[in-house]
Amino acid sequence: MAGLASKFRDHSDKRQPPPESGSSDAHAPRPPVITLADVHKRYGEGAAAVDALRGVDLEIPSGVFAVLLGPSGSGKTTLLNLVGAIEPPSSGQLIVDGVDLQGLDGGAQTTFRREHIGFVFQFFNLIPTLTALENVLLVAELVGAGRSEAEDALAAVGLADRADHFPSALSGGEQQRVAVARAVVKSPPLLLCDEPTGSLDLATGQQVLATLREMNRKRGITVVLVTHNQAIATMADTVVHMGSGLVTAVEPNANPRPATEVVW
Amino acid sequence: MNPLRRKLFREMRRHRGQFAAIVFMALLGTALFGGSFDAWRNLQASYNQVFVDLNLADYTMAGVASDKAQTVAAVNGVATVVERDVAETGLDIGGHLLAGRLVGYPLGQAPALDRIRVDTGSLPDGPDQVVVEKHLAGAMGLAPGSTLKVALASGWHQVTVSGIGVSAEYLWPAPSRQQILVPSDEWGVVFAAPELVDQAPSVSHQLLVGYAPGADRAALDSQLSQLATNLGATDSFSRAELASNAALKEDMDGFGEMSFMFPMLFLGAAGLTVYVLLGRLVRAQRGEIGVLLALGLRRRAIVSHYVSFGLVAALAGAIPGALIGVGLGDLVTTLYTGELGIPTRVVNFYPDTPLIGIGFGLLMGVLAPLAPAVRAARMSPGEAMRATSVSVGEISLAERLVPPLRRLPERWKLIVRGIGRNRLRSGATVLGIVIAITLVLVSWGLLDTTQVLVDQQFVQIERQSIELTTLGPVSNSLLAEVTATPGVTAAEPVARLTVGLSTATGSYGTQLVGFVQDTQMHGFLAPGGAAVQLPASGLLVDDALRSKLGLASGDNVTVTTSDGSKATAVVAGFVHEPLGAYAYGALPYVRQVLGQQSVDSQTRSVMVRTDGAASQTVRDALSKLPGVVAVVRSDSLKSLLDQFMGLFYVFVGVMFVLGALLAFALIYATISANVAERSVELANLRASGMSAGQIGRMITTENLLLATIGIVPGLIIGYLVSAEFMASFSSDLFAFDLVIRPLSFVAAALAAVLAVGLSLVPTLRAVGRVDLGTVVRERAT
Repeated sequence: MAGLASKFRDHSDKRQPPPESGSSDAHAPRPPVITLADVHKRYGEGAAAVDALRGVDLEIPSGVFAVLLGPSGSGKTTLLNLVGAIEPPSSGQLIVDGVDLQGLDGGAQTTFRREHIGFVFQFFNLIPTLTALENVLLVAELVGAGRSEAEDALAAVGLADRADHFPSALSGGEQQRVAVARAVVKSPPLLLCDEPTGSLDLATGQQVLATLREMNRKRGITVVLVTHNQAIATMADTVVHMGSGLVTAVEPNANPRPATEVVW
Repeated sequence: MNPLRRKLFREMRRHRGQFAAIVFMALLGTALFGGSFDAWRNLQASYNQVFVDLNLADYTMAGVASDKAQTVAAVNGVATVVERDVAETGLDIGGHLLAGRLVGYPLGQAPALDRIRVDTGSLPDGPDQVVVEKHLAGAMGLAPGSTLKVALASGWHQVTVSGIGVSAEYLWPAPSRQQILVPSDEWGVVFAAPELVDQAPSVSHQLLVGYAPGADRAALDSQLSQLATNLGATDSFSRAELASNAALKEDMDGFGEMSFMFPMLFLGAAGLTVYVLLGRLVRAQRGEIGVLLALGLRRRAIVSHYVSFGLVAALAGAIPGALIGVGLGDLVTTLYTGELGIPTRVVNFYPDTPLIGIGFGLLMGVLAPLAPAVRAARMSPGEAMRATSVSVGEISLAERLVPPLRRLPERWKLIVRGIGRNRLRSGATVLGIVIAITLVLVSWGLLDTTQVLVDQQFVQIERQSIELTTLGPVSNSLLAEVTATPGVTAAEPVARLTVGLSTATGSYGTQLVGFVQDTQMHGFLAPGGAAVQLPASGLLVDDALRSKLGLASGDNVTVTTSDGSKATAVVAGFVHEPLGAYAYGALPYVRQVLGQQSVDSQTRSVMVRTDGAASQTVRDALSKLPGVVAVVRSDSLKSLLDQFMGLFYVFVGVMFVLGALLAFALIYATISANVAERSVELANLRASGMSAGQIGRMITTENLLLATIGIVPGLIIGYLVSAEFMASFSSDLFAFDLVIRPLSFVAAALAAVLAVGLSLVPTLRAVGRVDLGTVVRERAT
């Protein structure tokens, strides 16, 4: 698939392209793009309260492809939502891309998401009355990007020839790739993906993962991907294991597998 | 509890806003049906009871000689014929002169027909005692023992009130079908001994006819109408055509129409909402339905489950609505009969009314959800459970018709295409807007029309300030004295002749009014509104008589006067007047046709114009002139009309509020369903950085566009419905020509936009409160 064009908005002051494997910079410490310190998240009150996160400490460096791995109910999606300023933490410190998310009001959260975050969800949820290009352009307009950026984003995910198709005429994999294009057209420093292959078959899922890896490698976008699928974790630079609302381990992966070799 | 039933109640709770809207519409529809249907039946029963209690005549002939009574009695189906005399004259009550009618009532025994019920006091026991009809007594503060003067041919004659009575002929006191609205302090009815009535000027002999039980009323009415024409009657009318009954019947028919219209409107809107809501629910629950079917649940259980939603909503509204309707019917009957002074009030409990109301509700509750429920049951489980289920997208009609629209920013494309995304739902929103505009236009059209009617009648047509009635023919000296009265700017003699107009097609009793050739007292408006002059030769006849008598300009018409003489006049043209159906002619022509002496003896009115200041002072001065027996101010009739309109305004206000509530409920239900369907897409946009405010503005713009789409058909349909509504009130008594002022159209359109705006408030608040973290994980439906 074609790489991203350089016409995207530049967050170069925040992002660094990942070092080539084997270079002297490969193991140099990179500044964290995500920092969590003793972060808690509780839902509900009293006897019905649920502690989804119970004091998470975590740093994710910029430019990595990180996977949050854990069983259902481990808190990984909650963690992703907090990092993406979809929900506020109950307590603790949470700094993402240099912004302290604790205490942000709704308007500030929206601005933060617009300028710093791209989201890809399991159910792509494209707008059915807009074509693929229009779905991407709708988000591009939020940040003042234009048609050419949107077309480039679609080209980057290999769907330039499907730009004028409505979602109903696209396969599940194609819809998810449009969702990826929609997320990256803003050139966000951080791309958060919640089970992006959960609704897809193996081949399509591999395509989507490859696209995400491309975004990370070529533009240095930090990707944090949530999954319960052990196999997908093998393509990550860093695997964060979670269980019962806590980070149980952070495992660097020196030899991440190409997406096409990830099999489940 | 059965899990499916539990699911049902939880879904009602989850969609409580829309559920409440449906219940509310069903409740209103059923309550208004019950209230108006029962009121209609109670009023019919009340009137009928009065007619039975007081033996109201089935048919009346005026101006028929006594020797014709046997001819009438011989008609098959006629059981009773009673003769009496009636005279139009003047009354002097404490110095206040007014017009009055003396009705002959035998001493010592009640007549076989047209009895009176004496509520206070007793029947007269001598010719110097009278019973005063209750409306007049109330207006003039009369009681047994009060005195008043009656203008007889010999002059004023004092009589004593023996009692205050009620007559079935004057439940609504009106001198004739042409004069339905007359203030009770300007005209009233007095029942007196025949010996007294016979001394009054212009006595008319009447035959009152009673039918045999079981007689064919319609056939007899027709037969006697023809007979009356043959016998030379100056006027004849059936019970239904009696001025009082004709006026009251308009109101009663209105209740009857409303009892049909309201359930159609409200229950129809509720049904549409149920259909839209359940369609959305079924779509959202495809996966669940698929699983249930796969697990072996019977298809009829699925149908029953979704139909139950509509049924529960319908019954939740219809049952309390039916109960409220019972009370509402009683209340309306009580208020109405009290307001109009109907002497007998019949308030029955009609057990079939609430049952019919609940039946309407049940019908709506079953039919409305049926299609979506059957659609759900027919799904193939595998198809239903498939993950991807995306609405088919397409370029909007607007973009296809106007290609430059395709270059709109994506946010605007989202809005424009959102309108066509679910056509049924958008149609329902537009329908709500059409209903809102229609109800506003009908209400305000009523107001505009009646305001124009009043202006037309009392400014353009009736130009006199005061009308005097004299004991004898108007003399030159009297005319000179009237003209010389301070404040009087013009005075003209006017002849008012009670006549029958007849052609081969039929006959009609009315007044032939003779004016001086270049009268300043009356404006003549042709159909279409153009002013016409009173012709020197020929009559101007009201447009209402064109079809009644089969008349055209240039036709001859037979004029029969109160003394039975006939003459032929030419119809020179037609006039169109809001109140009454008169014939007009220049005095010289009328004299030529009917004879100078006959006309001059009936020239007992003087119309007066004043300089506008202190018309009561002028009235008082004119009352003192010799020979004047009644003085009627035009503005007192206008005040009566304004009072009458007060009730109307209440009715209009109620209609307006109901319409607004109905439109709000329907539009709210469809808009909230629309937004709920897109909640996941919208949450994804929020996650991408679009603010709640931006999303709110998109939703608002889409729905305001829908409102705009609904405005034009709404205004057109509203106008047509208003015209139909007005036409249903029109008759020879009233000509309601629909007038809707331009500002009323603008106001109706704004009201629709306001209804949409208000409907959006709860929905937009919900959009702002959505739990993003939960919603973004859901699959869009």
